[in-house]
Amino acid sequence: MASSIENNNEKLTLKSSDGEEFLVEKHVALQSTLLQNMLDSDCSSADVIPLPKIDARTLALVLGYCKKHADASSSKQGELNSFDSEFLKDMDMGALFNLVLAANFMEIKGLLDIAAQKIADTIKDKPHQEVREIFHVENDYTPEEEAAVREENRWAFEGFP
Amino acid sequence: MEKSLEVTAMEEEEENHPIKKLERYREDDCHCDPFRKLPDEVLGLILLRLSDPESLLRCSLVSKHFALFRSQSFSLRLRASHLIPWHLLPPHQYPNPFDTLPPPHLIPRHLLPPQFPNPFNTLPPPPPPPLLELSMFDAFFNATRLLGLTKLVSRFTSLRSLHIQLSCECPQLPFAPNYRFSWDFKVGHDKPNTFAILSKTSINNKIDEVGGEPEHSWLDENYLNWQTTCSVRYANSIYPLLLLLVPQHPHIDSVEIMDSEKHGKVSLQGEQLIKLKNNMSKWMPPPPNILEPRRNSDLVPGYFFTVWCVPELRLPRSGLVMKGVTLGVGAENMFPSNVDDGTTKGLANDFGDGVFGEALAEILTNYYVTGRKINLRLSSRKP
Repeated sequence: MASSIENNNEKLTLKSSDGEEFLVEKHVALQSTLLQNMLDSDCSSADVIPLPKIDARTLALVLGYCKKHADASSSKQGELNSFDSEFLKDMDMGALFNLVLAANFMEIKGLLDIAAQKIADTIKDKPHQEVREIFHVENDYTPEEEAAVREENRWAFEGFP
Repeated sequence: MEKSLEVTAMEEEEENHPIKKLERYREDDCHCDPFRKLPDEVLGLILLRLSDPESLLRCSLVSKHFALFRSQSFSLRLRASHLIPWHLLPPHQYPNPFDTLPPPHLIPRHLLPPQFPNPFNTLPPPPPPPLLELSMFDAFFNATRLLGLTKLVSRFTSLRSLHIQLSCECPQLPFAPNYRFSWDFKVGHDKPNTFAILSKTSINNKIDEVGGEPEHSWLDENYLNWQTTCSVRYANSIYPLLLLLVPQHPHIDSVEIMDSEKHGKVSLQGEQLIKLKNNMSKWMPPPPNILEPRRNSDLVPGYFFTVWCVPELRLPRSGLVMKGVTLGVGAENMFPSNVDDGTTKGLANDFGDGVFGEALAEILTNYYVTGRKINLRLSSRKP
């Protein structure tokens, strides 16, 4: 028991791509399978773990998520769910994509799931013009090509409401 | 001085290197499609959550890159609304079982409509089972819709899993919502071209408490009629769907079909699915040109379907009692009830040892003649 408390108090330093350092409690870092594997295989003997793909803003968000999930007991599932839905609520698309990439890199399954769900929900039930605007996607179809795709989809939707 | 100029020039050259430029473009330009930055596995996760065909197809109008999602999507969910709702069925092609009052076995035989042959008159030796050649298929699956569905699914070229939801709605049911059609559907293991759908009103383990003759009310009889109708309808939705969709998608390794209330579920995976596919490819026509309009019945090979009804079924091995049981067995070549007894009863072993298998064996052993209700041939094409 004593050793687990001791372990909980251990801290790690993570370094973002833009050089900012974050001091993280070990039990929070364990939310990330990547960090967990590093700790298990004792690769973390270095003082600072660099995360070259993740900028400071994104890393702060990721660690906020990890802290909440590491601290909450399993009985507070409802509270965690509402935290999750609030967490991504007003996030802009750029931040969301950075977050999904970070969650994938750091192997944080829960965060990856909610971020992927959020992106999917954003596409769902929207007309294609709106999707273009939201994700800043350039329409690279010529009018003829677009008409052809439209035609293709028309028959695919035949008989559907 | 000279040295530093050289370095700058080198840096400049490096910066202009096409790959560097491309990287910079990808990282810096915020007008670049952010989906391009995603590794395949992350894009896969997002598409898995999208998995409804309308959204995915709408994506292909966004840009050329988005159009690729269709072929990168591994999973598709088809909602109940993709299949024809019950109330759109033309009533003259598929009669309401409650139009015939009193229940069929009380009606003098000469007054019975041909759709409802009196099951209690078929005592041994059993006459050849009455054959119904209704255009059931056309009634259940509106041609446009079925073609639309097949075409729609054919657009997704890398499908690995398919989830299909069937509608539970049945406005013709007069005693809803207490009675619901609950079912279980299995495809044969050794003979994948046979399938069985079993439904029941209730199941409980009070085998010792239930004594005497099973109660048999007018309501029960009508309920069984309705269940028969539903059995036929479900079998006739599920099996053609499997036939049409599975062979066209070589990578599919999981198919799930369930009703919208999640009462029943068909789940096909692994070896059973491979067998089914191999078996289908033997007698499916060469990949149909799905753009070419065809008659519905051309799309699906003919199959034969026999329905048994048992008001109360006791299962001694598992100690269970099922009420209001209907069993529908379908086979590729001939009526399951036409085959000699041994073969049909041997079928039961093909559907596993569980409660489903036991119920099937019990019906085929003890109610083979008395419980038989109706024979149907679905689809007009000669198998």
